[in-house]
Amino acid sequence: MLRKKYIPHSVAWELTLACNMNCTHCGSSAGATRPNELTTKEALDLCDQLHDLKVKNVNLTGGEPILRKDWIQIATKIRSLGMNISILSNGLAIDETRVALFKKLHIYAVAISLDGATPETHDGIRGVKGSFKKCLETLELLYKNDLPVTVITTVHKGNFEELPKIKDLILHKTRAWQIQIAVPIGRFPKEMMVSEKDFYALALFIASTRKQYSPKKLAIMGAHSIGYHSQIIRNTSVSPVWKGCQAGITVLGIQSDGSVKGCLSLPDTFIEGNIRTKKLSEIWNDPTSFSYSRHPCSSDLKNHCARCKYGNTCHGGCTTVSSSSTGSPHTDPYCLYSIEKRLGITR
Amino acid sequence: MYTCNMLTYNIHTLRGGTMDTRRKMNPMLHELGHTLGLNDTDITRAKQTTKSMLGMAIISAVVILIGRIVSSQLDATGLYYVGVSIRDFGFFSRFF
Repeated sequence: MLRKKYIPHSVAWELTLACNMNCTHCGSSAGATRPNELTTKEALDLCDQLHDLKVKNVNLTGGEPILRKDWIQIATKIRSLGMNISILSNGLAIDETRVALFKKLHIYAVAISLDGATPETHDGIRGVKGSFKKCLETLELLYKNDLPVTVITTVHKGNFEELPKIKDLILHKTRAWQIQIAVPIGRFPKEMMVSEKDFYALALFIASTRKQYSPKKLAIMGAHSIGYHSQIIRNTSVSPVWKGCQAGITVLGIQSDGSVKGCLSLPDTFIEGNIRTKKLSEIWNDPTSFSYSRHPCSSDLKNHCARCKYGNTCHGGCTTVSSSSTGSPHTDPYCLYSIEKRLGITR
Repeated sequence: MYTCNMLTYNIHTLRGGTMDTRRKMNPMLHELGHTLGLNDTDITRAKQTTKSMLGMAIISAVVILIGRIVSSQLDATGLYYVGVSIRDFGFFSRFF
């Protein structure tokens, strides 16, 4: 008998598109709820379907996931089925009561967004006055309660230079720090994206900080889109090796209206189906689904990736970054190896 | 003289030091690091060493092997694409 070929170990589930912030870099253009979000019954049924697909980790995101009234019911169901839960939040609505719920759920991670080292920057990006202060209070509260808290910083031209200050700010308020770059989807304007030079400096910063502090003191990680085959810089990611975009291979994204993508960050043109019309397993196991990552051809590689010696395993980097910044899914310009070649960076 | 320097260089490398701490740093690397306040020591810290490269190679091989045993197509990366938690920092992440 054939073994199942692909397993979505990690699922990002947008519980709702409703959000109490208005971030300049939001890739989902979150704010109001989607017109046709899943009902509680549909959401609970989806939990069973995720379990049937052998999902291990469910990342509840949004919008702001805890704004959904039945989030605790859904989270409890997920845990009862033995799957891990991470919550990605902006921290604004987290209080003692919710912290107690997180503890009860034995949450895998609570990730809080912090995008600046000053109220001016953070509040400016997030569009809510006072959110910087509240964010720091939330981090303190989570840390004090011994929850596995992670800070997520989304970097663009508006906050790039504040990274060293953010590091000093969070040193004793978090257990982990994930840094990712903002990409031009949703509300985020392309001209605010970091330059390739800044991107390289960012990788240097992550690698250096990672070496400076033990994981116990500050576990810093670059998101999957930061890296690829540098000949100079240490690994910046949690994974020891980059083997191409995992959207539709080990990762799955579900929108609050039931639409299914390989990765939630991808634009809507990458939607493979909807759980209202098909079972999730049918969409996942359809041999024609996720062809951009499951069956990439070397002819799909464009520009610098076409001649790259890593092309056949890398498949052109992060599909989201690549497609949003170049229009092609297999030509991520934010690649350390190609930047080193273009800028002549040597040891 | 050249041979002697190369020998010192190689021994230093094998001890896990940076490949070349005594040679002048690439100006572009210096310039880029400076934009985020990194000095030469910080930049040197960010560089790969023989030790880190060996560690990466060994851990990658182990993960690929485990990946192939527990799940076809999982390869090396799948097990690590789990989330954003401190819990994703396994024991092995110290080695690369």
